[in-house]
Amino acid sequence: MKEFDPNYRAPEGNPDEQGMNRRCFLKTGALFAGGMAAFGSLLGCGDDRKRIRLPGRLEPDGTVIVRGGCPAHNCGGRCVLKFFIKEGEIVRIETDDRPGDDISDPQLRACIRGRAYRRRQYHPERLQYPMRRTGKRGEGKFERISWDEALDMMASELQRVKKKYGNASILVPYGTGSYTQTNGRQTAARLMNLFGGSLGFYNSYSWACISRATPYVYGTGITGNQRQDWVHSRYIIMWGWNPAEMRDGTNTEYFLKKARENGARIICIDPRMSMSATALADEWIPIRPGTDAALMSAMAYVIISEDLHDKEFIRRCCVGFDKSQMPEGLEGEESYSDYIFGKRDGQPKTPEWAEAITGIPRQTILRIAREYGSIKPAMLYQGYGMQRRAYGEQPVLGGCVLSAITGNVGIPGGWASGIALQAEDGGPFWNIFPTGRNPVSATIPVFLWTEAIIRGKEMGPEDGLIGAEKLDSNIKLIWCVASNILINQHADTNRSAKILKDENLVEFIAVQDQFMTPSAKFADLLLPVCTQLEMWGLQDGWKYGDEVILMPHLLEKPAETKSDYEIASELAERLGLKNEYTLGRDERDWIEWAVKYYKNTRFPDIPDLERLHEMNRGVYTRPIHEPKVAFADFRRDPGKYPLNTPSGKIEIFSRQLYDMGKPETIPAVPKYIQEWESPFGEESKKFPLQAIGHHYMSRVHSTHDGIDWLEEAFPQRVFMNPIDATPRNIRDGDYVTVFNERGKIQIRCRITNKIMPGVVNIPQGAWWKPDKDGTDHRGNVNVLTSHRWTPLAFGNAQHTIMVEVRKVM
Amino acid sequence: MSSNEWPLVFFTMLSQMSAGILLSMLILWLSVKNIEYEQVETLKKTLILIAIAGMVTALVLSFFHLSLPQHAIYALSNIRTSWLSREIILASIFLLTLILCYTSLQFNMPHRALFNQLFLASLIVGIIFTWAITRVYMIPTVPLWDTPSTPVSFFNTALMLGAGATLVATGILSSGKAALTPVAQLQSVLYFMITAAVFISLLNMFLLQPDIGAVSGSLHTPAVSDSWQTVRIVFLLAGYTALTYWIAYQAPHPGGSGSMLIYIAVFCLFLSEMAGRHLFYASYFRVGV
Amino acid sequence: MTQLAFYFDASACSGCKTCQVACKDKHDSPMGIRWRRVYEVSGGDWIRNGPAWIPNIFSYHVSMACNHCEDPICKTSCPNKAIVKDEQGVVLIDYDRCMGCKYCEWTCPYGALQFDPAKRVMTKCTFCADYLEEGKDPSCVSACPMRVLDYGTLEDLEKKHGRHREYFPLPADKYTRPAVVIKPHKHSRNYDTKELKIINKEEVTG
Ligand SMILES: Nc1nc2c(c(=O)[nH]1)N[C@H]1C(S)=C(S)[C@@H](COP(=O)(O)OP(=O)(O)OC[C@H]3O[C@@H](n4cnc5c(=O)[nH]c(N)nc54)[C@H](O)[C@@H]3O)O[C@H]1N2
Ligand SMILES: Nc1nc2c(c(=O)[nH]1)N[C@H]1C(S)=C(S)[C@@H](COP(=O)(O)OP(=O)(O)OC[C@H]3O[C@@H](n4cnc5c(=O)[nH]c(N)nc54)[C@H](O)[C@@H]3O)O[C@H]1N2
Ligand code: SF4
Ligand code: SF4
Ligand code: SF4
Ligand code: SF4
Ligand code: SF4
Ligand SMILES: [Mo]
Repeated sequence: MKEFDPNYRAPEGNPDEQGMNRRCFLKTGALFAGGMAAFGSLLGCGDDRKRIRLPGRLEPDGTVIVRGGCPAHNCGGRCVLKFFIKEGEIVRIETDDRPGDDISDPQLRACIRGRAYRRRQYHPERLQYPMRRTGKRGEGKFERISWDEALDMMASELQRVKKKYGNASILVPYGTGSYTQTNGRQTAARLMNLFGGSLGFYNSYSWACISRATPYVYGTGITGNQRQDWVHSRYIIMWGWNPAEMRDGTNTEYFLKKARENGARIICIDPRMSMSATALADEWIPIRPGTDAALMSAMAYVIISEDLHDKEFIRRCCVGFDKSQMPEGLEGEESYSDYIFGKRDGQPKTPEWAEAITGIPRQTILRIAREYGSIKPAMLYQGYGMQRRAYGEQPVLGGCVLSAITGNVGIPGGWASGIALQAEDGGPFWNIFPTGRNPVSATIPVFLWTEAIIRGKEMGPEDGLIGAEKLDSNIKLIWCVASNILINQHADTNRSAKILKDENLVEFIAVQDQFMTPSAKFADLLLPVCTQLEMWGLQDGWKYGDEVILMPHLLEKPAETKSDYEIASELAERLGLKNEYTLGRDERDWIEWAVKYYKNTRFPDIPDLERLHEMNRGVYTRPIHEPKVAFADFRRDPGKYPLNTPSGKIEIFSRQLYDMGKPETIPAVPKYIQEWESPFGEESKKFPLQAIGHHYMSRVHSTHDGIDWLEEAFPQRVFMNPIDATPRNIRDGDYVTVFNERGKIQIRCRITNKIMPGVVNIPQGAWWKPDKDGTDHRGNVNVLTSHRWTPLAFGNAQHTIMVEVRKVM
Repeated sequence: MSSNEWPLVFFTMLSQMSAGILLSMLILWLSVKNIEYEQVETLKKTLILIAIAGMVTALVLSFFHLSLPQHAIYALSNIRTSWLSREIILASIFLLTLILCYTSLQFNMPHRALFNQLFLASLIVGIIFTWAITRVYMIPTVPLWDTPSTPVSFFNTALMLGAGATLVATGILSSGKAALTPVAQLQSVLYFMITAAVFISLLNMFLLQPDIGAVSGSLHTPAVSDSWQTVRIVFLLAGYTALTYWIAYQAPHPGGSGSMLIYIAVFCLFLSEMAGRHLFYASYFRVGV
Repeated sequence: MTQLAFYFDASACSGCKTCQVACKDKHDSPMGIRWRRVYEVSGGDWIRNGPAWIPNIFSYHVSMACNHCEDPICKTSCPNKAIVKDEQGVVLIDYDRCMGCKYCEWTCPYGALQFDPAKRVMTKCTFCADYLEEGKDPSCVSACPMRVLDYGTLEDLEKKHGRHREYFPLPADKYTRPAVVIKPHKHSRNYDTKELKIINKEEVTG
């Protein structure tokens, strides 16, 4: 197999110096296309290499080519971009061009968003100056002020609020805009920690249920093999997983293509025929959203009743499968098998039962259960969309258990499910910029920050509060950095807007961003940030990856923009914390520090910053020839390598969950629970359609919204099946309103067969654009989503909603 | 159909009308014997002038279709493979021969034979030119155009509008005066030609023209609307009815000029053709994407 | 004369349009112009069976630029000789001869010709001829995250992958003899299918 040529080594040095590639035999003759010819502007073009020390070689037309990274927004990938810079401006962007594109070390090829970055970088609406609110909060009226005024204002508000309400009243909210170390919310978090702390939070909007639930089964989140291992798999279930669109680590879609070329059969279970279902799967199995746990249970029913489960593995490595292996003292409780065969509730979880819930034909359920039960090794990979739902913990637990009972844990080509961080070390760090310890110990679930605004003092453990008995204060000051969570990305936008408008609740809001986002419109103080290309940065992979991407300082900061680090440093000075905050380092020094950090941890061979910069490869990689397999040791010898669970084994029945005493919502074995807004409930009479909001190609959440090249390629639409559209008299391209009790949006409709009847999709992340009646005209799905959280993880259940759609007359 | 194709609607219609005028002249020449009258001489001159005006307008309008008219000169360069190039060259030659015809009449050159030869040459160029126009549209990748219906409809336009224009000219010349036998004779021949054209037009519409509804899947589905088809048929029938009324009740009566009715009738036919040509462009769709 | 050609593997194209934007960026194409563009094709029906839905749905993506045809109808129909084919078979437009009559656009069955209203000339994929000359791959080819785009001589590609291209929404070969080789998707149908249609029209022409 070519992919695993053990002699292969990633070539060293600058790809520019690798000479001509395999295609140099092709010579082109006369070039007619006017405008395409190299128009060497010979007249006095400056050498960009001097202006900002750029490493590339100077082309005859004055262009310098520098490799760096795509600004690490929270996009699902981390890729190399190759910038063509001329007279201080990026004139073209290409991607990783390291020769020898081998799966041990594949090129980190950018997606459409990275390739269109020029349109974001040079967007006319980038913020340029600090501004202060003039109108009512949320109105979006501002006046320009100086940096001195802005920072003084910020410093005095911080001190005032700290004095009056204490540090726990300060929130630096969730914000995923940048993971380049020196830009991003971590810069603010570090300062706040030095300032006495701010309200802590745990969990994420991405992975609340999956990161919380996985360890109940496995004792860890590191349940994934390295991706090079996928070519060993024979059968892959992409369960609610759409890597072709959300990447899940650059090249994940490509690894799947390779696995398939190597003979794996791939199926995709998703309400939409996603781009992954089209390009990567042999079969698409549409499922009614929110019913995955029912399908999993029925598959287990088939697997167990047809004796396809791995009895030896279950006996050795698991607990709670049936009554023979229940935890001590709980022998009489409902085991997994009891649940599957309906021993207590009288309902065997048969394919017929699941058919009515999931909408999947019973024959199909039977077939895929047999396939997954008998083809070895097999992967069941779960995406995150289906856990951003009511009871989103259940499909996570269910997936883990299915993997375990089929014995696919700890073997090459297998997959343990769950969050599946990469073996053996958990993979990339994302953020290493040290934020320090937060002196405020009270920590809330990330999704409940609006609760902490309106009733923080009343919050306790029942609201997921940890680290303290209760909160000392409601949230009174928000410093929002690299985030659009205040309005756009949090659930129930109209509710969030109402809360934030009330100046008696949060007294001061500062927003630090590159654009006038819907959240920025709610700022009292708006601080303009430069892009990641206008400063030094460093990033590693997204979820998977064995590389570090250097982001050299490429361009001057335009107008009065500053980096997040600069802003925090200058604020630190006003708060008397300058030395503690900066440790005397500028941005580049921090990146130098960061490179050393990687040297001391994951990559002992990484060259120092100076050398990395000179090499101009964009990325340092560690090729993977022998991919790590999670739980390999445990499988071999569970006694010697016990898991970090109470039993040391895989907990199909979780004593910890049992002890929570909420069997209806937090059962000890994975169960299907009907969602609180569901086509089977009363609410469906008024709002008969389920709405999901998948992560769209044209955006990273709300970042990139309104970028012309991306909108041209993937316009914001509500996607709807003709079976639902026809009775509503809706045709392709019509304007429709989508609404429920929480709000209303009005956008154009795309009719497509590629979504299950009864389900509509409004890709998440569009910038909220309400008219005076509150109807959103851009299509922000969060206008419709609910603030209700999941029972165990206190996670966002934003995909669980019912709506109705009507044609705009 | 996008608005930038209106110049083409008029270009093709006016060109075909001009060629059709020569055709009408030939038919009149062959069918009406005592053609030597002074009046008929004026008629010739008038008709050639109309043809020239038609061609000049057509060519001027065609420039509005171009985005870089300064490069139009290159359009003469690909006679080897491009029907469009041929069409443009033939248009120029046709105009040239028409001008020569007119000159020979204007200077009343003694040798009638010269005019006759020039006339014949123009006629032949006009016919080839019309053929070239049809070929421009008979694109293999455009199935609704690449059918016999295209030449039939384009030549029929020449017949209808040529005869129509000629009829108008006779109307102008005879107005106010007592109808002279030769003119009346000419007019009945023209009426007969228009009758044939109307008949062919209907035949083409209902029998020859390919079924637009059969097209599916393509990106560029034809944007044909029924209302234009209705406009086309209504004006065709209205024009023809008026003409028939005129020939039956007004033309035969000495002194009953009735020219106004001719103008209205021919104008209706012109509008009908315009609607038809618009529909033709709107029926554009190509194989593939 | 050699004939350069594109290879496109429809079986694994995700429709991500990275190729489209890579091309736009390389050539500074204005909005509305996509020398390479991606068609989303779909067909089929949903069948209701009791409480279950059976998806009898087909879909795939086709990324297509100019096919630098062996028998380019655009070239033969252009009155201005503004379309030329170089010695590698690359079909290019000479902006100094084009008069913007858009006739070629009517004739090309691959939507490759796109009029640039600012430049007032017809434009199309150049096969990144300048890159080829430098020994680099065309921008779209080196962009594809799925690695489903490639190029080479038509002869080599046909030898390697066979002579396949008459899949919907491409027309029959006979009109232009396109220099492209396509590996079909499992749902690919022949050009004359009535089962499929392009469902993202606004994304390719809007
Ligand atoms: N292009 C792009 N990529 C991204 C991002 C982005 O904004 N844009 N964001 C990144 C981030 S931060 C994250 S956390 C990840 C998110 O990655 P995911 O959470 O995995 O992405 P989603 O699009 O929410 O959901 C994935 C798939 O699940 C399907 N789905 C929805 N509901 C259900 C269900 O109930 N059951 C099943 N079986 N399937 C369901 C959706 O149709 C979709 O195809 O993506 C990352 N990648
Ligand atoms: N309905 C629904 N809602 C969702 C989701 C869903 O699936 N459905 N997904 C959720 C998920 S998984 C996530 S991760 C969240 C993401 O939510 P957020 O973390 O809010 O992510 P973005 O919307 O991308 O907002 C990031 C902001 O940072 C700005 N920014 C970018 N770079 C920088 C920088 O260097 N410095 C500064 N200061 N600002 C910068 C961008 O302009 C943008 O406004 O959304 C969640 N919301
Ligand atoms: S996947 Fe992310 S890092 Fe890679 S190019 Fe796309 S947006 Fe940039
Ligand atoms: S970049 Fe590749 S996978 Fe994406 S649309 Fe283009 S050809 Fe398809
Ligand atoms: S694809 Fe179209 S533009 Fe390209 S060579 Fe063929 S006919 Fe000409
Ligand atoms: S638009 Fe230009 S290239 Fe096309 S046919 Fe006309 S002159 Fe030729
Ligand atoms: S070869 Fe070059 S010009 Fe042609 S589509 Fe690809 S990127 Fe565009
Ligand atoms: Mo996320």
